[in-house]
Amino acid sequence: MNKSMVAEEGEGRGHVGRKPLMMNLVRGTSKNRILQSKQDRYGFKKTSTFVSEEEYNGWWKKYSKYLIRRKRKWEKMMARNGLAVDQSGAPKRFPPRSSNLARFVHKGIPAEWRGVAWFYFARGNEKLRQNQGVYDRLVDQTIDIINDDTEAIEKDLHRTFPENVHFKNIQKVDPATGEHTEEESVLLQTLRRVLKCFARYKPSIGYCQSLNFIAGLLLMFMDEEKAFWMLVIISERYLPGIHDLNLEGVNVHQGVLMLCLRQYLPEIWRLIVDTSDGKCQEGSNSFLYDLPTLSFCTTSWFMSIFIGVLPIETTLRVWDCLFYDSSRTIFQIALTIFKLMQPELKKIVQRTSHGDTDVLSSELFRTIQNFPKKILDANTLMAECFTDSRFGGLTQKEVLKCKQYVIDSRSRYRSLVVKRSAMGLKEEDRRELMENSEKLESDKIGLKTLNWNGRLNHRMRKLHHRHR
Amino acid sequence: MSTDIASDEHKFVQFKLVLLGESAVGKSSIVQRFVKDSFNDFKESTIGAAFLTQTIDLDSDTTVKFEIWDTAGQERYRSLASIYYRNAQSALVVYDITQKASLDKAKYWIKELQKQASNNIVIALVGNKTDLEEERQIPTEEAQAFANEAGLLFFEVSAKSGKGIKECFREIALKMPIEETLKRRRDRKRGTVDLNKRPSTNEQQCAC
Repeated sequence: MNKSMVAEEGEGRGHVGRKPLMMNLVRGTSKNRILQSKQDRYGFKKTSTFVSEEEYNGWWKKYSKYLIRRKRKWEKMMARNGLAVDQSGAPKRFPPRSSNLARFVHKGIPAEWRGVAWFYFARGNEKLRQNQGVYDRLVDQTIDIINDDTEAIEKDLHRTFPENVHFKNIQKVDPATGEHTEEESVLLQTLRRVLKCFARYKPSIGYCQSLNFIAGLLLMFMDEEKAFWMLVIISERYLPGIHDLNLEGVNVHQGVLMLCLRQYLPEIWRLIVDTSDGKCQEGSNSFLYDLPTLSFCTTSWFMSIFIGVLPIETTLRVWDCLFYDSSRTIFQIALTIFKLMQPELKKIVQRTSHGDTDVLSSELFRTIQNFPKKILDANTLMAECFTDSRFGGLTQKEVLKCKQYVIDSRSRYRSLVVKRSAMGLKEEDRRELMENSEKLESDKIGLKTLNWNGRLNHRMRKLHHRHR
Repeated sequence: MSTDIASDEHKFVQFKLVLLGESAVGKSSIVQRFVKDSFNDFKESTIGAAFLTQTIDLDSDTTVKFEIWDTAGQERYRSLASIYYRNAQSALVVYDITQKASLDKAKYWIKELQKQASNNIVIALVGNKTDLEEERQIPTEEAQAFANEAGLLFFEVSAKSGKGIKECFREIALKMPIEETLKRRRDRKRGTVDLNKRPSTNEQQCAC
């Protein structure tokens, strides 16, 4: 095991004209260097519209100490398990899964180890072993290719983390002529190859906007072949269907989130109902087909796995949990974000208590979009998720069950709509019918089923009581 | 659609506006110019959608607030788009004057809106990037003729220089059904339901 692992890890997949990219893009946790810099340790801008320099530095002073503490604990834990780090300072293997290891992951994987850890937990080595040489062939095949996907990739390449130093063009001055030239950064060249290969390898997806960000972030932590396979694994296992040509997976995931909200955070669910033009009637699940307007705000939560939604450090912490665990992480975190903003949402309702739903919904949208951008302290988010709210208890089995329920409901609604339009009903009648589907549908079609999961319901009640 | 009145004299009306159009034509940059009066040469591609608001004072006693829904441009996002444009009172369909094909995409969106969106939606066809005049592929007359024929407002703008942006939003604001909306609000106010007085629904939720 150990031997083959070393061989795999050490294998340099050299390619003509392509240097294996394994840059150490992550800067150390040196507190002062970051405090004085405009950039964080990943090369992103520290500040945003939602985080001031003062806030960032205040947080970083504490967080950098936390990082050093955690790193030491990881090293000790690894040593206890007989797992040494190599000369580059990164481990090759991790201990077997356990609740203890899960706790370590929830508290953050050391940034320098992230690439190795994500790849290891997501069983990337297995994938790599099964597909020896595939990536190199794909690179050859796609090198000169031009099609809709490659054109879309070119449009997005320079719009991927444009503020990050590693993604910016390199400015060069010819010492002889003094002429200024711009050269594309290595990371962008690599990103282009990975995205082109992916589009070729997964024709059911091709290139989808948001994959640029996911692949771009992966490339900051692992070499390009691994980033490619990681992207494949994400699209197959962690976010199945999300980036497909018709984006149906997005709708399904949104449906699951809506059901989870109704189940776990009924007060927030009420707000969604109140602001969605009567589409979310009590007793009807038609919103699984005609999604509430609010789902507009949560699309990117799934599509880019929180990149651009949460501050980067927080996003990385979520990715730690996701790759160690499974797709349920996305729902656990989504619920936690809603839980954290609940007080703010309540305030908005109190402020706009004149019953003007448009002003109310506008304020809610703004909060749901902007609030996550302020969650700089990942520890708060994780503590809320895995300790306080216990959303961490949402099991993968439950999520999958819920997902199947949404898929079934959506296909039932779709065939219903097709049937009705065959009967000559116009599009504008459709929505009205959807809203009244309760009256129109016989029980056996099952659309009245409110409780997709009775057991969860029961548990939720218990949780609720405990909170009071 | 919605309203709020600071005083009896001042009219404050809110409308929903959606931006549609091919990828990289500058939808988000137009919004950024309108909302923040700034411009980035390299702007991140929009994932899913973004939500912003901005107000315009039409005159001393009328303020229009736009609730702006900026969307991702890639083809496949069309399947999500109905969430964005349903209930929109106005739409900015953007193309890039230096990209021939982007006008075809704009025409598609206009057809889609005329079919699916609310009947009285105000649609503006907007050609962006007039700062790149030397790279122009779509003559003003061609787009103007199409807009006239389809009954749309038409503008050419530059998010980069800011030229034409304010005028564009102002024109749209002037086309909004302000008086009707105010009247509807007054009617609705008579039958207002106070959200706070609604009986607590938590009990119900728990008892299911």
